[in-house]
Amino acid sequence: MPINSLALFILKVFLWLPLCYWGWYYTANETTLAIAYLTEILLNSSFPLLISDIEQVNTHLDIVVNITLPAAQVPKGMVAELPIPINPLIYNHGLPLGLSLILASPFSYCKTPLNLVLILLISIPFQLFGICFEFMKTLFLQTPKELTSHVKLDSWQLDGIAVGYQMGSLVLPTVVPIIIWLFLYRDFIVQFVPTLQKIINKP
Amino acid sequence: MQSKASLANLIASDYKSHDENTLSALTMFKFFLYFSTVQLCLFSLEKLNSTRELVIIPFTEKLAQISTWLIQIFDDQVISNGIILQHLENGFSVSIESGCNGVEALMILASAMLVFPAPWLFKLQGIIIGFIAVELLNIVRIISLFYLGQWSLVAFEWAHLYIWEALIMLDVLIIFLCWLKFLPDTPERVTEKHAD
Repeated sequence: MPINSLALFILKVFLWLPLCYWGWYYTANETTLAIAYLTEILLNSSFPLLISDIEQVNTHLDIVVNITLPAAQVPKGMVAELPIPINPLIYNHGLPLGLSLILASPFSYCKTPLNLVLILLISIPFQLFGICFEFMKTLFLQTPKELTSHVKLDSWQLDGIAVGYQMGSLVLPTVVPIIIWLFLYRDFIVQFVPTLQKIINKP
Repeated sequence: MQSKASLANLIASDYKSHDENTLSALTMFKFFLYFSTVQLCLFSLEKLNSTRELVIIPFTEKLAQISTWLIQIFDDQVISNGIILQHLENGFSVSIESGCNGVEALMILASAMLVFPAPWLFKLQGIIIGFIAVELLNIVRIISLFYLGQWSLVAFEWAHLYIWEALIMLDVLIIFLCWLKFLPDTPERVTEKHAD
C-alpha cells in the first residue's frame, strides 16, 4: 500500500473522530450506569463492608465509603461516610479513537459491527481497572490514615496502588483501543507494510 | 439453518488467518506481551524518585521554557516558572504535570520499536524521530491548552482530559506505522526475495 493510502486512512480516522467523540459522550450517562453497577460488584467483593453506596451524578460517580472515626466525633444518629468522586470517562477516553480506527479501516458487514462491539466490551475491564485504582489511591494514599484504620495494607501494596493508578490513568485508556485495533486489523496493517509478515513470522 | 451456517462461515472467513498474507494471532500476542513487559519496566523506571528528579522534572521544565519562548513570539505577557506557565495579564497558569509532558507516549512508542524485530540503528533512528514528533505535538498541546483555559475552562477540561490524549496517541500510532513502512530489507530478506 503506498504512503498516500496511509495518509488517506489517517484522514478517515480524523473524519470519524468527532462523530465517535459525540456518540461516546452522548451515551456516557447510560454507560456510566453500567460501569457503576460493575464497579460496585468489584469493590464489594474486594473490600467487603467498606463500600456503603455508589451514586451516579450524570457522568460522574461518587463512591461512598464507610470510614472509622471516634464515636465522640460522629453526631448521634449519623454514620461516618466519605464520598470519593470519580470521573469514569477519564479511563475510557481512548474508546472514540478505537472506534474511529475501526470505522476508518476496510468495511465488512460482519467484521466491522462485531469489532465495534468487541472493542466496547474489551475496554470495560480496563475502565474498571482505572476506576478501582483511583478509588484505592484516593482512599489509601490521600486520605488521613485514621479514617481507614480498619483496612490494613502493606507498603508494597501501597506502591502497587500508586503504579496501578498511573498505568490505569496514563497508559491503558489510550493504548488498549490501539492494541485491540492492531490485533483485529493485522491483515490491513500488512497492506501498509508488505514486508511485515515476512519479518515477524520468520522462524 | 442454512443462512445461519452461511453467516457463521462468513464471520469465520473474515477472522481466519490467510496463512501467507497475514500475521498470526500468536505472533501478535507475543509482540504485545513483550511490548507490555518493556512498557511496564520503563514505566516503573520513570516513577522512581531519582529518575523524576534527574530526568523527568528538568525535562518538563525545559518543555515549559520552550513553550514560553514560542508563545513570547506573539504574546510577551507569558512567563514560565519551573513547570508552570503563567499569563501576567490575567494570572491564568497551567502546570505541566506527569502525563502532560509526553514522556508516557514516548515510552509507549519506544517499547513498540524496541520489541519489534528490526536493526538496532533503525530502532534508534525511530525513537529519536518519534521523540521529536511527539514532543513537537506536545508543545502544540501545551500552548493550545494554555489559551483554551483562558477562554473556557469547560473546553480546557474536555481538550485536556479527552481529546489531546487521544491525538497524542494517534500521533504515536502514525509514527509507528510510518516507521514500519520504512523498515529496511536485511541482506537475508533480500536473498529470500531473490529465491522467491
